[in-house]
Amino acid sequence: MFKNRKDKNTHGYRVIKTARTLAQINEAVGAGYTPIIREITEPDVTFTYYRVVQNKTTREISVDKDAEYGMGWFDPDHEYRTALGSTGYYPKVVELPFAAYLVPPDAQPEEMFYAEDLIEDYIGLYHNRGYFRRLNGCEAKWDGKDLIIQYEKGAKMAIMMG
Amino acid sequence: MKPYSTNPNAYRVIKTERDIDKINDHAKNGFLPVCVRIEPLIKCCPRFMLLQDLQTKEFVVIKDNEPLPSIPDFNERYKVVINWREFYPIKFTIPFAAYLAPPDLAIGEQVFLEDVITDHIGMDWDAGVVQRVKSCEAIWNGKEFLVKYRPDLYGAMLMG
Repeated sequence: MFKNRKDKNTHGYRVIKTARTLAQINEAVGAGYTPIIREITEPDVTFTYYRVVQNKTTREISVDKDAEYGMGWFDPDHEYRTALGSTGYYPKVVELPFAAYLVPPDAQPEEMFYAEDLIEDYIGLYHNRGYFRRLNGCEAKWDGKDLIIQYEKGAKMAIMMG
Repeated sequence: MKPYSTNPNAYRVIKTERDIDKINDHAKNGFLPVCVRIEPLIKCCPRFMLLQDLQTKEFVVIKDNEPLPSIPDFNERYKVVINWREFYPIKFTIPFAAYLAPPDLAIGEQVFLEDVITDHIGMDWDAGVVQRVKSCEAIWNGKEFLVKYRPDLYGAMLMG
C-alpha cells in the first residue's frame, strides 16, 4: 500500500530522530551526532481546529477538535453550549521555536534516511472540505552538511473526499 | 510600576487553570470555568538567540527577558545560529485556558486575576524588550471577567 511513498519508511532507511529541547540537542552533541537546527515557524495553512463546549448541567468542558469540518459529536442546542466557537490554531508545544534533526556520526554524504518527526510543516493530506493534515515523517538525504527533506509537493499529498 | 501585580486592594483571587482535566475537577467542585482563548500578541513576546560554542559545539540560549550573562570574547567563542527572534513564553497544546469563578461570586465584584490569560503589554523598554502583564484586577459581569488593564499604568516605557 505504501510502495514508493516517501512519507513512509518503505525502503528501511536509517531513522533520523528529532530533538526538541536544548538539553536533548546538547546530549546528542556529546554523543557525536550532528544537530541540524531548524526554526519553527507558523505555516500558511491551518492544520488544527478546535471548539470548546460546556455541559450546561455539570459545567464540565470538552474539546471538539474536528469542529471545523462538522464531525462534532454533541448537540449544541440541548445538553451543551458552545463556550468557544470553532477556530484554527497552531499548537505551541515547545517553548523555544526551534528543534534539531540528529544526524549520526557515521552518516555518509548522499545517504538516504527517514526523518520520523519533521520539524517543518508540510501538507500530508488535503481534504476536499478544505482542511489539511500535517506530514509527520519523510525520507531525507544527507548531503554532508544539511539534511534535505525529500518532500514532493503534490506527489504524496493524498486527497480525501467526503 | 506594577500597580496590580501584588493585589494591593486585597480582592478575592481568581485562579487560572490551563489543563482540561483540572478545569473539570474544579467544575465538579462548584467552580464555573470561564474559558478564554490564548491569542499570542507578538509584541508581548520576549526574544531569544541561539548560540553555538565553537569549542564544545554545545548550544546556548540567551533570552532578553532574563539577565544577560557576561560573555568574554563573545565573537571568538560563539557562532550565532538563530539571531534574535520572538518566542511565546507559554506552552500549550490547546489554545485556551479558564478562569475559575467561585460559586458565590457576585455580579460586579472586583477580583484579582493572578494569571491573566489574555496578553497585555506590561513593561516596555525602549531597547525593544516588552513584558506581558501576569496579574491584574478585573470585574465579574456574570459571564466574563473584564480585565482592568490600564495602558497608562502598565505600558510604562523604561529608558535604558
